[in-house]
Amino acid sequence: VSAPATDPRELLALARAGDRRALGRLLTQVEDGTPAARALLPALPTDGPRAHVVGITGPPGAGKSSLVNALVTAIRDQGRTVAVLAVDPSSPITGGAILGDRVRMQQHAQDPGVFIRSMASRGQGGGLAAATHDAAMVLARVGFDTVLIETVGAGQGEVAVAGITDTTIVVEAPGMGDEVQALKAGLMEMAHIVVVSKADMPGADQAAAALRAMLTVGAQHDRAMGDRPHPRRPEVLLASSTEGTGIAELLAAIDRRRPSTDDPASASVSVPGASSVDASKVELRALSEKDDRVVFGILRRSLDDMLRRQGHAEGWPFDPADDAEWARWRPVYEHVRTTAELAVGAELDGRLIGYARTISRGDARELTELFVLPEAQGAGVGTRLLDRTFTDDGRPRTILASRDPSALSRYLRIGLVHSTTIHTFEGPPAADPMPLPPDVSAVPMERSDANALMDDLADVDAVVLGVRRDVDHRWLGATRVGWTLVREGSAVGYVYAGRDRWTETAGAGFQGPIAVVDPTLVAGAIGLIEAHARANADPLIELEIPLANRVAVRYLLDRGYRIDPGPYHLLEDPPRILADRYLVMSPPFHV
Amino acid sequence: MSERPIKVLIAKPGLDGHDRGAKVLARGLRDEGFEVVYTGIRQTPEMIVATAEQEDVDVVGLSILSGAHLTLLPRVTSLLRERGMGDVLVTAGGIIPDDDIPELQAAGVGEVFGPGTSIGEVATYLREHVRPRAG
Repeated sequence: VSAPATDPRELLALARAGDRRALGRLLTQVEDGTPAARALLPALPTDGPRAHVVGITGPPGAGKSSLVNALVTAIRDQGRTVAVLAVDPSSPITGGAILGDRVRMQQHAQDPGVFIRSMASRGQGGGLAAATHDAAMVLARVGFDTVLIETVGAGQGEVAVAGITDTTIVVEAPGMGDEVQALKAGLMEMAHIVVVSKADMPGADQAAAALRAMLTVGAQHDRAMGDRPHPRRPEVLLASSTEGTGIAELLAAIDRRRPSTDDPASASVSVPGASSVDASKVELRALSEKDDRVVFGILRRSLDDMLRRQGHAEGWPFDPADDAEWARWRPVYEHVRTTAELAVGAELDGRLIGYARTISRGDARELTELFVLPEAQGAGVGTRLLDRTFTDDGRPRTILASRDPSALSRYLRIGLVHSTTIHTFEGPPAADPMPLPPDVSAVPMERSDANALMDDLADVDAVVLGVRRDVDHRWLGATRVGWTLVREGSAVGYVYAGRDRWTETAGAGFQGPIAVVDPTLVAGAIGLIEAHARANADPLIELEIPLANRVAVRYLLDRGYRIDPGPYHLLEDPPRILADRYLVMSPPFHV
Repeated sequence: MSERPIKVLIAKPGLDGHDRGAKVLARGLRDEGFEVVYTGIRQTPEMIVATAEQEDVDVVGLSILSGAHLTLLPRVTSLLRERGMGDVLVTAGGIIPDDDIPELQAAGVGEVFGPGTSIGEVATYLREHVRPRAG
């Protein structure tokens, strides 16, 4: 036997020719992130067919592995090929892992049309995205018809899955109990298909009916939302892996979502190298005030493209000549620009094609924006901007990142860690706002002495965020209504509420931020905003909620607020923001 | 890449259904920092080798209590060699008479761990004998 190949390019060629040993070895290098494997990824072939990448997630015990096994059987019965990537958590203490998903799939172990690979999350938290994403990209391009990615589900892995798949399936077992409601709420908005597994068990029909009802309520809100982007509603299906019922229907639903090969929007597993931009001609330069409007156009076009790629048919279109829209967003832009630490543009032939901006607050830095025009993505411009503005210099770092997979991979690779996912919750302000506890009073900020107010706010921020940020509070105070929460003479929190001056024209009620030193005050703080909105007859309020904030999530879901699409991930290095005591300001440019 | 965890396939070839020992070993090695692929009972040598290939493991650990070790274990090592995986470390545990060990080792099986072996001994052996990895 000759010496086995170790060069990833050689392994890839062998894998594409059907050599399973070579594919196994290549995936190990991808998983380990060897320099040679990382260099290979942008060179993956982009021509020809690629697999339909399907993520399957849900809480432990929901029956994901059995469902994957049943799907593999159904796909093989049709003569098609399939790869499975089964991700299990690593022990955070020892780094070891038990990868046991294969137990339910071993009947397919010898089938040459099936390739099953187990992966340990290696303690990366949301950083799961990096290695899983890369492995999925390889599997999608070596000739399989379908790639199934199974992730265990309590919080982080499944979020990562939603960013890297064409189709996301959330599996729920009947009778999983109330405590998964919050998790479910976050997951459902990412699901294209919701499967109630174990359909042979009692309670399955009721569970499916409850899920359908919950999703229908959302659809009613959609109609009230006008032209703002909102999500497609997932299908809810019943399936039993043991009895085989519902599997054919599930596979048909999956296949209906297969991206067509000639649809440019189908490249949701990002394929670097697709850009025609010659990166060597791109120059980086400092941004100035004169660039404001061009920069805003880059942000809006990039966001519009991303939303469309993620299945929001309406996107978020922007006409660069729309003065009113620019006027609406300009104040927050100017605040970020005037308080930026670094603002760098990427220019090609005298035209800006991307930019990045950071701010510093106290000892911490935040990447507020990094956007590259859609047609210039994949040429390494984003990585260059990131290298210029946000490498590790020892200070704590924060990013509120979109779910764009290549951007996430980039951020996770430079050492940031997923802390929580943030979603917009919105709806008419509830009629029964929670009062603050009797020993806490809400003091309007405009009645406070300015210097004492800044110190009070800084005391709260020191606990909740770990930084002092007077500059933001001065801006918030000038554009929003605010209160400090006071208990026994000490500041224990603050609350900002819309409708503020710059969103008034759009009629949307952006709220926040809220910070409280005691998590039990979260509900009363939101109640303050609700009461304020009702007093103003605002039709709708919007709050940016870290899903890790159990009190806020439960409070809002119980009152019928719905979750908007387009989650953000809070990435930190090191983690320090207390998500159970903080609701982000919206729009979420900085925490 | 010296920090990458060692990846071990724990498999039970043959017809006996007693997997308690294999599961204890899998958990123990997990606690020692290994990544352990566990495939369950009644695996054929062909299934085991196909799994080792897809998972690209460093070690195949075979737990066998059925008495068929002289047939099944050499079959695994020879299939591994056929598929170009002769460098994968193969170890065995379970109920294996001392007299059979030389024959197994001649067939390419590494250490044979009898009842009473501690997890720590297994872990140390694996760390010392696993092949170096490319990349």
